[in-house]
Parts: sequence; C-alpha cells; structure tokens
Amino acid sequence: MTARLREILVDLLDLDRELADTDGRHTVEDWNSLAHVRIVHALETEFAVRLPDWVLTADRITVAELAKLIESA
Amino acid sequence: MTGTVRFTDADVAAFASASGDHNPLHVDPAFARSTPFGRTVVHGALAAITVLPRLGDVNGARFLFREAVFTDEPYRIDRGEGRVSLSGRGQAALKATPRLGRLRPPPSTGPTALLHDPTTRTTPRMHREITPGVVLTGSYEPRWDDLAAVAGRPVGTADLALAFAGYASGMLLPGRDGVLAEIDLRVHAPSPPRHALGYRLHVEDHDPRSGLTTSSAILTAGGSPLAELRLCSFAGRRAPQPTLDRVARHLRPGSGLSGHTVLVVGCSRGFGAALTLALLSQGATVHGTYAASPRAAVQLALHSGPHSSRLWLHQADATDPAAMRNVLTAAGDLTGVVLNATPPLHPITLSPDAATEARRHTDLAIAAAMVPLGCALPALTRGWVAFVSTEALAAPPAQWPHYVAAKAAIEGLAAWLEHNRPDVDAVVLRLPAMRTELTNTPVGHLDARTPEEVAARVVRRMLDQDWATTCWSFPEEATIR
Repeated sequence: MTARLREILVDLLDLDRELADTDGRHTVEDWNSLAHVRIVHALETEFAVRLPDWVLTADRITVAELAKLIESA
Repeated sequence: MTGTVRFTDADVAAFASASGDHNPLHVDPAFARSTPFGRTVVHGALAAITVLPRLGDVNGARFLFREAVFTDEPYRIDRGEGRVSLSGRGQAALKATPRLGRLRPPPSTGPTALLHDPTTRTTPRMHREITPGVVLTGSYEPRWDDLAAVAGRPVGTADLALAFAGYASGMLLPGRDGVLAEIDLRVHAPSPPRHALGYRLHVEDHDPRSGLTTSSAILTAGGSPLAELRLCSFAGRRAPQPTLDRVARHLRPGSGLSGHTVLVVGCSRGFGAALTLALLSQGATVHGTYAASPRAAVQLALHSGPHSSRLWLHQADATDPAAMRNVLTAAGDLTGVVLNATPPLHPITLSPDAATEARRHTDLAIAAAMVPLGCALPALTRGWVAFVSTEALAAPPAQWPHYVAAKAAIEGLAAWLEHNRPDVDAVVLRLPAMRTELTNTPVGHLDARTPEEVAARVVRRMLDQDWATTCWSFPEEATIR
C-alpha cells in the first residue's frame, strides 16, 4: 500500500525523487493546497476509503501519516 | 533552455475570442475581484499553448496547473529534467511533461445529457448537475486565424485541443466557477481540418466536498478521433453575500448601539459586510468604505433593508489619504473604527523571487490600516479602533508568509495606538477562517464559519462593553497579549 501511495504522490506532484516517510506539505514545495486536495481524492479512490474532512485542509501532514490514516480508515 | 514571457490583457482578450472561453474569471475584472484571485487570471490553456513548443514534437503531454498566472507579471520558462515549467512569484505555476501511450478509457456507461448552449447560459452550473456518467456532446470551432495569431504558429491539433480544454472547463464543465488543475492530452492527427469539430465530454468523477471534477473528452473530425483529453478542474462555490436574516440568527435585533457612529473600512463583502449589518441591526449609524466592489456595495445597501437610512457607503480606496479624508469629513464624529480592508491574497512560496509580491501585499495591507487610522484619530476622542487580524498568525499556512507578516504589522499598529493614545481603545480581532469570496478556495468552506456568526460575536462583545483594551481570539475570546 505504501509503495502505491508514494507512486500516486510522485505522479500528482510531478516529482523526480522518491518521498521519505517524513516528507509532507512542509517539505515539498509543489504540495500546495490544490495538489493536496487532488492527492486526498486520488488516495480515497485508489484505496476505496473515505478520509476525514480535516485531512483535506491539513497543512502539515506527512507521507507516513497519510499511510496510517488510510490503514485505519 | 530558458525564456521569459509576460502576458497582457490583450493576450487574454485575444485568446478568449479565439477559443470561445469567455469565462468571466479571465475577462471580467469586476467578477474576478469577487474571487480569491482578486483580479483576472490568464487562461491556463493560453499558458499551456505558450510553453507547448518547448516540449518539442510530442503527441502527448500533461499540463499541471499549480497556481494562477496573472497579466503584466514576468514568468520564466525553463526546460529541464524532461519537463517544461512556467514560474513566477518564486513558484511553478505550470508544469508540462511529455506523455506516451493512450489515455485510460473512461467508463462507457451513463446517461447522455443534451448540451446547454454556453452562449445562452447565464447561471453557473450547479454541483448537482455535474454527475459522474453525464455526457455532453456538441461541436467546437475556434477562430482559426485568431488562435494561430495567439499561438504564433499554424494551429496544430495540440493547440486546438488545449483551446478546447479551456473552453470545456471554463464554459461547459464545470463552467463559470471552474478552475483548471490538469490537462492530459493525446494527439491522434497532427493537423486539424479547419472546420467545426465534434466533441464528447464525459464526467468521470466529481467530489462535492472540494468540487474536484475529472472529465474525459474526445475531439473528432468526420467521425475520426483527432485528440483525447482528460481534464481535471475545480468547480468553485459562490460565497453568499451576508444578509440581515442570517445575522439575526446569531444576534437578536436591538438598539444598544443607537447614537454610535462606526466607520467600517472594507465593508462591502464578507466579514466587513456582515459586521456592517450587525452594527446596523443594533441601531448604530455606519459609514462604510469599499474600493472596487460597487456591485457588492449595492447588494449590501439592499440587504440593509429597514436600516438603510443609517448606512452611508463611500467608494474610497483605503490606501488613498485624500479619499479617506473625504470620508472622514462626511462621517463627522465617530464612536469607533473597524480596520478591515485587505488586499487580495495570492499564495506565494517564501523565496527571494517572491519578495516583490510579498512587499506589495504588506505595503497595501499596512497602508489600508494606517491611512484610515491616521485620518480617523482626530475624530476619535474616547472612541475605539478594531484591528482585524487573523487566527492564522498562530499557525501560519505555508503559502501565506506575506499575509501573516502584514497582519502582524497591523497588530503592531494596535500596540502603538494602545501605548500612544490611551484615550482610544485598541482591539485586535484575531478572526477564524470564514466562508467569504476571498477565501472561496476548493476546501476553504470546510471548517470555516459564516461571517455573520463571527460578526455577531464581535458586536455582542461590543454591546457588553467588555472588550475595550483587550484582544480576543474567536471563539475562545481569549486575551492574546
């Protein structure tokens, strides 16, 4: 799951590098609010889950935290 | 490989005419001022057509729209790492990447809806109309020569498809309140025939929380596919203008402020409009200023209803000393002043390249508080001044360094007033996120309060006479210094 999550992030953020667990909106310049909305929607679609609404507006969320949220959703 | 480009209003008008994308966000300054962008925005498709040649001879490309592109500002075009980017204000506004292979086919089932003629459509498409499975079909033809002039080359299929993408997003789906986030394009024939083309636009997905809408489209000539696209757009919501009725849900009408005269600087929309109505509902006389939103001011006047005789609206730029002096002359003695005017907020990335925009924003924001304050102080013996600040100061969003810097400066003005004019009460209002036109972003409505609710809390505090010399945060109403 985590590998697929990273693939989605790299694709939507159009990155040339891998993301670490600790990467997030605060470390990736292109991870702005609009990109974040698209990421949340893509993750929900891919993993057939519904993330809490607060995730849509979270401005300091990391890759590891997203993975945990998906697992627990 | 780098280059620079500076789009002009003429470029935008020419592209609107060539493509048929007359979305008011691009061509109507008054409408654009009522959006979070604060001014007209360059068509994303025009930006894409501009960078397209830098990709080389490709049959497929993905365009990611990161930030709005504005006229009369410099943008840098860079090519590297297999992609082309268009950057301004220290951040990438558009990234374009060559793509190979076919697009994933859309789901094939779903009802077919007849196309609404966009030239006769006067109202925005409602979210409930954007239903996954809906298919719109019709014909599309740009003004070929005009599009060639805009592109600076003979119109290729990719140019045509990008123009259609802008038209589809801005005029069809989502329509008026649509903002493009991505175009994924595949070209099947490099040269389009110069006649009307058929299109089929299929809504694949729509998230009502954010308005995120994904559609696929195919352009055809004589029944043969010319290009395929996948479009990703945000369908915006319009923030309702505050009304007396909604204020009354939080604050019962009364007369506790009869005889008080309050100047609200920045009164026509959002919190300023709600506060104006709340003050009126308690018997106050309100002089309100607005700079560039006459339509909203007219709406406010209409919404003031039975209190309209106590509402005086002045079109005056808060940063213009002469204009503000005229307002103060007309207003006479004041009980209080609310410093609420603020320039539109455009996200930036903290970088040397963004310093110009940050300085412009903070300059305007400080002037919009300091000029009215300086004009009003002589008329404010034993009155009060409310400085509108933000809870974002406690947790600044990543792309708002200029905004929180400006608000911190305005809180500094409050400290100055408190120290140097003890006869005037200084109040800092650290307000929460509200559902207003200026914060009407895809998820701005989530976890946001209505401006009427916040305005009612402020006025109730005023009625209780317990806010002088204290500063408070909503909803805790805590003293913050």
